[in-house]
Amino acid sequence: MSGIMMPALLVLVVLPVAIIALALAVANYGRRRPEGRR
Amino acid sequence: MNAYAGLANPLALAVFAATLLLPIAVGLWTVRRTRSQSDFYVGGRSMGRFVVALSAVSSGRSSWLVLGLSGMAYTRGVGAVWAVVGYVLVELFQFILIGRRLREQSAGSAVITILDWMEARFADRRHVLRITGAAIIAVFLTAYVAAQLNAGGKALSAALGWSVWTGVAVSAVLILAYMLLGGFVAVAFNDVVRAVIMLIGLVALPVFAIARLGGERELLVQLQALDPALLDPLALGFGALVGFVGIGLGSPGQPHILVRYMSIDDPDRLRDSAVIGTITNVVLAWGALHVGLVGRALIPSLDALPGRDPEMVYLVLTGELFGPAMFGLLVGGVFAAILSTADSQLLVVGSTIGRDLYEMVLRGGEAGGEREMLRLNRAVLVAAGAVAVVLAATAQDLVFWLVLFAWGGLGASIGSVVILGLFWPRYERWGALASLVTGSAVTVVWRVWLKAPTGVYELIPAFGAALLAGALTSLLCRRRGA
Repeated sequence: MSGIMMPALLVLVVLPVAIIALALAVANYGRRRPEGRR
Repeated sequence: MNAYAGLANPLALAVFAATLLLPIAVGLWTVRRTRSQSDFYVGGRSMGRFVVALSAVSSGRSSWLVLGLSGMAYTRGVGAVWAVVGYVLVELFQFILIGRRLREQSAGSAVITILDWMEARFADRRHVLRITGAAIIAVFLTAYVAAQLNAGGKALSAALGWSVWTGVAVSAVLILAYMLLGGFVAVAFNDVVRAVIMLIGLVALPVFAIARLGGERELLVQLQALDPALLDPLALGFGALVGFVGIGLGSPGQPHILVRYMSIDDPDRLRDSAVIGTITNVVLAWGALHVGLVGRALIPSLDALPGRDPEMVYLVLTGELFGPAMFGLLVGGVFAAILSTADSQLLVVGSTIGRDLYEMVLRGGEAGGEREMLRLNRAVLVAAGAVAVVLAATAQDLVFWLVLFAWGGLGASIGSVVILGLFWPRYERWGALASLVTGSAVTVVWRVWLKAPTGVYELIPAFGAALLAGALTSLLCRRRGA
């Protein structure tokens, strides 16, 4: 794979996955745990 | 050459017609849930997390997503990605930060519109903010609805050979039919139906097209052979990149998106809505980007697109890759995007006139019983729809001129008040008024006189100016008061 393709692959494949991972992390940050669990 | 020629097939036409008529059946199903004004405008604050997530996403995405973004990717290559990154990220945080606070602060039965919240938050008994906000929302959103109906009318005209007038009127009837039956609940459930139709189109089309090409890597190889700049995410330059990402600043000021957060049953569930909404936003956006890119690889010559218009790439690819049933469904996806935005915006125009101006300002909050108000609100909706139809069909230039300012104007004015109002306790009434006026004025002035020489997207300076004007006015008023 040529070097010119790497940035394109990053924004087309890695970036959307990273945004979904961020959404999961942000949504779960500070979420109250059910009673009796740590 | 007509991109909709495939609709001549009876099966394609039947599936397409079903996507247009299904929402009316949904309206009939939801009519029993609409018994009060709160039900009619905010779903009685009883909507679930999936409905809120998909409704917020599909209300915010117009035909720009399906046709405009894919056309932009066809022309500019992977650099078009920056047009989606801003709003996808802003809307993720919007669900969790803005949405939750807004829902918590609008828990009382008296808060069912964004201007209700504003008046309560700033203890504005003289309705100064409500009247100013209503003027901004009514002008910009009515123009927006008219532009959506115009787009729907033109597309129906191209697809079925009708006149644009007929297309505009039919588009309006298609949304008013279920809006009058089920109000917000019908609109929100139909947003879900339409989000699913859009998802099918923007997943199936790029997946099939990339498979035909031989995979993602082969797509990149072919694009590189056509023009290496198509693979460079930074080819569009820093100014355009900032402007693209800045589009996202407009989301917190769109009343038709904000009201979705106010409709959820439990504010804490907006965390789940944030994940569902972000996944949907990402799949739709990257699907549309891939449609444009793979379209460029498979159809490199603009001459092969109707009217040499890159925004036709979605329809042309659909016709080339799928049989009649899928073609009907995917063409339905274009209308789903247009109409899911138009109905949400029209409902806010209705609530601004019926609830904010008539009931709260003119009648001092005592306009009659729930049944009477429901009748009145339905009549207001028909009148607002009729105005939008007439504007869409007869004043196209005025509509498109106003729409130029709509996303930025609402984003800078309403958005700055919402953000400062929710997160800065010292922000007060005159500061909010300063933000509303400054946000709208700077958007218009910048767009008309300063955008061309500076190359800066108007929303960015307008948003900054509105925040600054609001903060300085609030501090000044507090100092005087002290």
